[in-house]
Amino acid sequence: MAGNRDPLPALARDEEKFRTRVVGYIAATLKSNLPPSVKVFVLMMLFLFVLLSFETGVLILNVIVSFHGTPVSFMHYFYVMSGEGMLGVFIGIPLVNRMTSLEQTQRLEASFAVIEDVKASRGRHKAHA
Amino acid sequence: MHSRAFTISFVSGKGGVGKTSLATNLAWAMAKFGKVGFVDLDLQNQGATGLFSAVFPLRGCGVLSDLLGLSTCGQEDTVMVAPGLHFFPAVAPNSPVSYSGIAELINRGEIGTRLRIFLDHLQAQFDFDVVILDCHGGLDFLSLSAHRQSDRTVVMTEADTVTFNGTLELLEFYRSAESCEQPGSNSAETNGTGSLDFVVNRVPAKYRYDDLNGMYARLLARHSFGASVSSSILLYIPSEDFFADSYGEYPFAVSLAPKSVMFRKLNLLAVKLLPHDLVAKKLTATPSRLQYWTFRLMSRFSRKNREFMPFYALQLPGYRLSVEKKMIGRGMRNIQRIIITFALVSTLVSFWLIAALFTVMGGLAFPNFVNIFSNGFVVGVLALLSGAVVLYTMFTSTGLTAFYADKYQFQRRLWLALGKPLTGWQRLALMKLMILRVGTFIGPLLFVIIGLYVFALTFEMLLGALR
Repeated sequence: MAGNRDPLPALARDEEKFRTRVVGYIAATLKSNLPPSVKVFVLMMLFLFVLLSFETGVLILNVIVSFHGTPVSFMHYFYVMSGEGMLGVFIGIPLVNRMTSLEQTQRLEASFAVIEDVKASRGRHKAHA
Repeated sequence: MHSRAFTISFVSGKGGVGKTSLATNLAWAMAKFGKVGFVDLDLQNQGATGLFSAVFPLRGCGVLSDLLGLSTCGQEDTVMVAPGLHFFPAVAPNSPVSYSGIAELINRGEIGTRLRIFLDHLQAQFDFDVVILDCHGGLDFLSLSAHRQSDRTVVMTEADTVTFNGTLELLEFYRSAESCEQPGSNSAETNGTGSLDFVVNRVPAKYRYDDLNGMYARLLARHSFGASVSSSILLYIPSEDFFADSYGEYPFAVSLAPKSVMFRKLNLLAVKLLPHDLVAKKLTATPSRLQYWTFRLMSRFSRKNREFMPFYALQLPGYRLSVEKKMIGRGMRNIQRIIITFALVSTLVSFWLIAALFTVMGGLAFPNFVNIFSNGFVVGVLALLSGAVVLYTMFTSTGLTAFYADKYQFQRRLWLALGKPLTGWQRLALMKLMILRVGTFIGPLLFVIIGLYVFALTFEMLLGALR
């Protein structure tokens, strides 16, 4: 029926879609063949996305409330932001360290493998000579 | 007849990986457990001889002339460089060096027999518990013989392609030397069990323990070096900048920095390499918490307990594992702490700025909307200033103070250990470090106090306005 303007079912559907999508992302990440550090990174990114959307809400709220000049909003905003800063420093930095270490170790291993190959082929030459 | 000393040799495929530095400090640590002989077998470079002769008056005939059969070392020829630690220089301090003799000796076939005779003679003279052989970095028959005479051979390496190449060459050299000889032909030459262990020195801070250890485990599993070669890395040692700064100034530099990661790693290496009975004489294996705390309490009163405290702590499995896994030196950790706190504080302060700005805007835009917040501008500015000051100082002071405290303590200990009176410039340098150390602590502390005072004023104003 063309006259059905009730937005609620559509919103509910959207919400449902969003929820399944997020859960789907998490499940897909966990099931994938990615190295554990990358999994953690993807999950952290998802978490940050949710956090950022929450933060946008806080920001808008803060703008509205701060025009009333209440210092409560100022403290509130600061707590939220500093919490994120702490998260970034105490979770983000070790996480990035972990990932870069893994990557650099793999690079080192690859270059070691090249040297081993060179030596092995030299050994074959010796055997032929 | 004296029993054979437990012999440990330090070899590497490439020079300059830190054999001499580590072996010297390790000998110092091991000397607490028994009588240790430290032999400079690096006849080409004579690194340990140079290191010790700068600090101790050396005498004696030298290992070279002993190996050449020109003389034999006696009790009067050695010098005790630390309690329980005897040093044997490669070459006698005041005797002419025969370069053709060195060249001939290190490639001579019977060098193994000569080395064994020399070690037997040392044992008969001194009755050592442990003998440490500091070899030349590279492929030569003297280091091969040293490996064969040793109970444990430590191959020093680094986590890079240059050193890896040399290490592979060394292992190939040992393997080919073994396969070339007929079985039983050199039984007199081979005394030790000849087990090979790897120590990865100067690990860059970018690598984590799990990643690097996994990589080396796969690597060692790929190669079949033989049953005597360890299937895992014995120890990883991070690079420690104070150690690099004082390179060659004092032999036992690590002993001067008891808080450093290097010191703990070195003690761990000593406990790992020493024979179990020698360790068991001094320390309980896996002590209970009660035993540990009793020992720790006693170390306040007993000098002996204090000396063994670092080793005793390493007998606790959890602590031992944490030391084993440490890949970042103390110097690097201090720098990281400063960087992290700077990042944290600058982020927080910028957020604080935004928040305060909104408050100021609110106060300016609607001065009469809510009467009590007409001074929103002042509140915002004060909050901004005080918050920034408090946060900045709280976080930056810790890393900086630790950084300068370490630098000051090590420098002072090093110059005092050299046994010469301090010059004016040295005093000035120490004073500078002391001022930086105290200044980075007291200055921020004052700022924090002032910041808190401003905070208090702000809240008092707010409360006054609310009333």
